[in-house]
Amino acid sequence: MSKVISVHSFRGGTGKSNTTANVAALLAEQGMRVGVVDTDILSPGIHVLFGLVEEKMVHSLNDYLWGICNVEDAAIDITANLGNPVNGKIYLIPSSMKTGDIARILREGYDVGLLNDGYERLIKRLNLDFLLIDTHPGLNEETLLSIAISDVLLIVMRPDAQDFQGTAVTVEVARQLSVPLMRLIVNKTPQIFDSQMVKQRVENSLQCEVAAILPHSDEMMALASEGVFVMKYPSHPMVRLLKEVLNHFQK
Amino acid sequence: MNGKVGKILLVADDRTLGQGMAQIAASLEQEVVVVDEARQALALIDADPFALILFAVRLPDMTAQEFLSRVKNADDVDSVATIAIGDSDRSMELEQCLEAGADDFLITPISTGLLRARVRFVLEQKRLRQKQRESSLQNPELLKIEHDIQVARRIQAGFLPTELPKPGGWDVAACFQPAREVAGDFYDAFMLSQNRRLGFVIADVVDKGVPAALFMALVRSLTRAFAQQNYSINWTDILESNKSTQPFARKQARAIPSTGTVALKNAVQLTNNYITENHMQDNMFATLFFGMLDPTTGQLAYINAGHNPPVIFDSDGNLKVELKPTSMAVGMMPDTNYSIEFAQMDPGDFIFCYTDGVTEARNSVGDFFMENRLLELLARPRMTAQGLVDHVHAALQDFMAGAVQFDDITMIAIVRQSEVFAHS
Repeated sequence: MSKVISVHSFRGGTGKSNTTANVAALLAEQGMRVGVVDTDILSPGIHVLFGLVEEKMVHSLNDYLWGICNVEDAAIDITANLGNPVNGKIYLIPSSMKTGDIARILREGYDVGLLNDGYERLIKRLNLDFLLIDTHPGLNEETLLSIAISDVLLIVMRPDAQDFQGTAVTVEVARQLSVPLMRLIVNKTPQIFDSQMVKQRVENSLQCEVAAILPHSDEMMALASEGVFVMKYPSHPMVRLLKEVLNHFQK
Repeated sequence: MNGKVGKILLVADDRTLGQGMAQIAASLEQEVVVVDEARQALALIDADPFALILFAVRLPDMTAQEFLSRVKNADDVDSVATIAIGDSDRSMELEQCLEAGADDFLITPISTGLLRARVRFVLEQKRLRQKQRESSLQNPELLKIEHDIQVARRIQAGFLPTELPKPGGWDVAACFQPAREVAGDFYDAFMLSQNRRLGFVIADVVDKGVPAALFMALVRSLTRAFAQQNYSINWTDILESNKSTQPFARKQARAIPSTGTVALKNAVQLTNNYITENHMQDNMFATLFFGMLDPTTGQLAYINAGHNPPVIFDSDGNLKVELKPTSMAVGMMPDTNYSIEFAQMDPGDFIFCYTDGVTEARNSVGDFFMENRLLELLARPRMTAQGLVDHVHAALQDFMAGAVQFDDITMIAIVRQSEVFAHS
């Protein structure tokens, strides 16, 4: 059975796209066939982590939404860009970086039902084990739809008062949408914080299980999105923590 | 009655009527010219107009229908009145005369009192018709209204699609026959979601004539415009209520938008909202069926707002399903929630949508056409969409023969061609 995993954060800059890319890479390393959809149509970015240059983007999610191509035609096999050989595959469905395309989405909107049908078709056509959805921060319609159809929802947050409040909203929404499995990932935790205490505090206040407390990492910052962290630093302690996240939905 | 109303022509002889002509003529207290034969009568009419022609249905030199049509050609339709006369065995011929335009009939033997009453009535009707015509010809206001209605008719025709979309493997046809100059029915068909869905609508405004036509224009424009909006409503409502008493039914994909369903819901729900907010006082509403068809898979998402159930038949002519109303008519109740239902059209299947002008068409004795007669007509092996519509239309014309059409007649047929058929 293939699984749909949405990665969301209420606010921007939490490391949502990096988390998505890392989870995707770890799954591919296990031999899984993984699709990654960038539904952050208004501010796309995850393609950068997978080393996809704009010229190689023949089609994008936008083209699918506008009826120019089928959704699988926008999928690009970026497995080779990971840097290390893996047994599985990663297909990225990027959103367009062209100003005109982003403006068109703002102007016209699109039939959000296409996303639902598109996800289903991707899983079938690309024979995927996992479909990861990199969502737009905050709550908009496509994010709600993605959460509503997900088997797993990973919510990324920083240990920050703004993130606490925002994440509480997402958790509440996900409960109403009856997501089967929801986990929090606390990211960019200052090294001076005690992981166990942070975990307890977050779980108590949000009433939701935490899958990982990821420390702030200079290496991650230095990588500056030019690659997928778990591939570049396979022996970094953070990799073990991220692998534990996988255990939550791969039991 | 007095002499001013003009001369009367009596075309018959003593034998055919079994009564004395002279006696009849005398009883009319008016100038009566009596002739035996139709040809003589026509010659007289040519020379000098008559106010009324009484004629026997059995004439020696011509059928009554031919005589009547030549009278009508020779004279202005409304300026001469005609009464057919026959005995009770000739009821069929009398009926035919009435269909051919005779104003009334008399059964022999004729009582003079009845005759006088009938003649007075027919002449009075003729006088009123003439007066009406004259006043409308002279009255610029009436002429203007007549002109406006003709323009309205043309504009309304423009609301109907000039060309029906026909996605590959599908065949679409429609029929529209208003009861009056302007109609309260409409149909529409257009592609949505970047050519991925075929949207089609059939609707019936519950009224007739100009008010219904105006309302039809409103409903048709709103549904079409709202169907092209991408913003979504409703399924996210769950987030607005803090009660959350009913947990979201997961994987009940019906609640989650799929391609085209946002457009479908917007079209019906927003139209209803607009009408109930702005036109409640008009007490107008429309029954409406909106289908959203995926041409690739044959899946049909639909909302039936109080409309006659469209029917889906398979290629062998078996009725598969009736798409019964899922909610109230549009414009009836504020905040109606229009839920979406689904049906499947397999290769060879067709869907037939119609308004109640079809099932409630009446024949000359007032019987209704009825749904079972329609279903029998449809239950036949594969036809083209146009063939289906024509088949039903022809049967309706036969049924209504001569009777007045009371309501607008509208139909849409959509056929999913079977694979063999599609490739041949």
